Amino acid sequence: MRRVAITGLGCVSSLGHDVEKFLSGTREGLSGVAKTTLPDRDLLTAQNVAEVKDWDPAEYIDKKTLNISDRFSQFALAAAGQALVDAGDVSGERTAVIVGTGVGGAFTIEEGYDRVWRKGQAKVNPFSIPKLMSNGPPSLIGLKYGITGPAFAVSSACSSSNHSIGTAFGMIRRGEIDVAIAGGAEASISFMGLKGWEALRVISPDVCRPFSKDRRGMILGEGAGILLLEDMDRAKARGAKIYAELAGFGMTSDALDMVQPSIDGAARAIRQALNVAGLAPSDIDYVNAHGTGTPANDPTESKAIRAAFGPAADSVLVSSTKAMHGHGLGAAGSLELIATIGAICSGIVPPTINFTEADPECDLDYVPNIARERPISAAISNSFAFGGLNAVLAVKAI
Amino acid sequence: MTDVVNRVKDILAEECAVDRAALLDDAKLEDVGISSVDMVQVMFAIEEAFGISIEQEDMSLDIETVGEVTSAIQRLVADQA
Repeated sequence: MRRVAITGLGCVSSLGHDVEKFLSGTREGLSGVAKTTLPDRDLLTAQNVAEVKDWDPAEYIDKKTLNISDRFSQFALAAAGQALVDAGDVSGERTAVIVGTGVGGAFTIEEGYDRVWRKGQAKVNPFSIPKLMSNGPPSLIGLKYGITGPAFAVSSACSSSNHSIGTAFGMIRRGEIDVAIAGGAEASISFMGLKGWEALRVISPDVCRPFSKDRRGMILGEGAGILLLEDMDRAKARGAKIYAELAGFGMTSDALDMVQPSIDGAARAIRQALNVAGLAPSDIDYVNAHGTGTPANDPTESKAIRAAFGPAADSVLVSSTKAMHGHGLGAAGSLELIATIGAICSGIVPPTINFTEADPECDLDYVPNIARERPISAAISNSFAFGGLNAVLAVKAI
Repeated sequence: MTDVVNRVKDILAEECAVDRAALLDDAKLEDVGISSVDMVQVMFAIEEAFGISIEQEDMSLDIETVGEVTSAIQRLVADQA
């Protein structure tokens, strides 16, 4: 089996439109959360979200491409551009583009309904269909950069990014491709999107407090994270800058409940990722948690980490960066993998902000409120989706 | 009606990201870099700008030049006024 190097990073998030701003923000414990800018926000009970701010897609995308790009595709295109510049090399045929999304073009769908049903207009945007389709990002990225290898979208709600990156990892390992542009994109903090989450009663009215006893739910985020993955030998041969090794991937499903998480399903995914990476629990210094800040996720995830790690759970650092950048849904795993790589490269573990009070049900070291210096030789990043779909990535320092 | 022509050319330039000065009446759409897919977006923008409805049969496939586009839109604007 071949080894997989991570040689390029790109992202757009509520903490900024590039990796540097995202990583410095997560290290400094900044918050991307603010009141939604949606015009109908007074009709929403929970109005705080982590939107990408001051987004001017024309800075990144030409006019013609913009005509056929929903907001989630715009984020993906911008992030992919950064990752490709960062990596410095990509080849056409032996490269895959695999980008996940939980929802697809939510704003395009809503704009269409709004025009026809509310404003009484006869026609919707002529590119509504190509804009809303979930494979917008991989197709647009492939088109822009002349990538002619495999390209497709992966959709598994909040695990979409990790499933995408894990799929690309497997394809490079098996020699099917040499390079992958992989990650996730999401832009679904639309009015109806927020209404749906509001009805499910899992949105915090103020902020997200992962693992804290007084947590009240999640804060929705948006953005995109794109990583350049590459056969390790190829990366070394061309003298590429290698951030870390993508070393393991584990995926399981709960087959238990559409929305309630499971300790067993999550723990099995973590064990699988460690097994594939050839790492023992005691080798892992940091866990970037799924950590949504909902009453259900956080104790379940803590117990799953304990089940998979055994005694090593007492010394591992666990943090949820979602309190800062929001829950990016289909983009969550890629943003969080970038945060994890940032911790490996800097030796600074991002904190779990808004942490006020320990919960007996959540008994790990969550790096509360302030970043911590610690050399990180290996880490995992968890994503656990609605539908009971668990996907865990393991990364090693070079 | 020159106003209609100018506005249509503005829309062509804006939506297709082409040089406004290149949009001479006898210039072929293909030659100035406007594809049939671009024209889908252009027709949408024209409908919005003029409050008219362009049906598929209104823009026949043999429209090849900038002038043919502006003439077709002038007719539609006059018909639907």
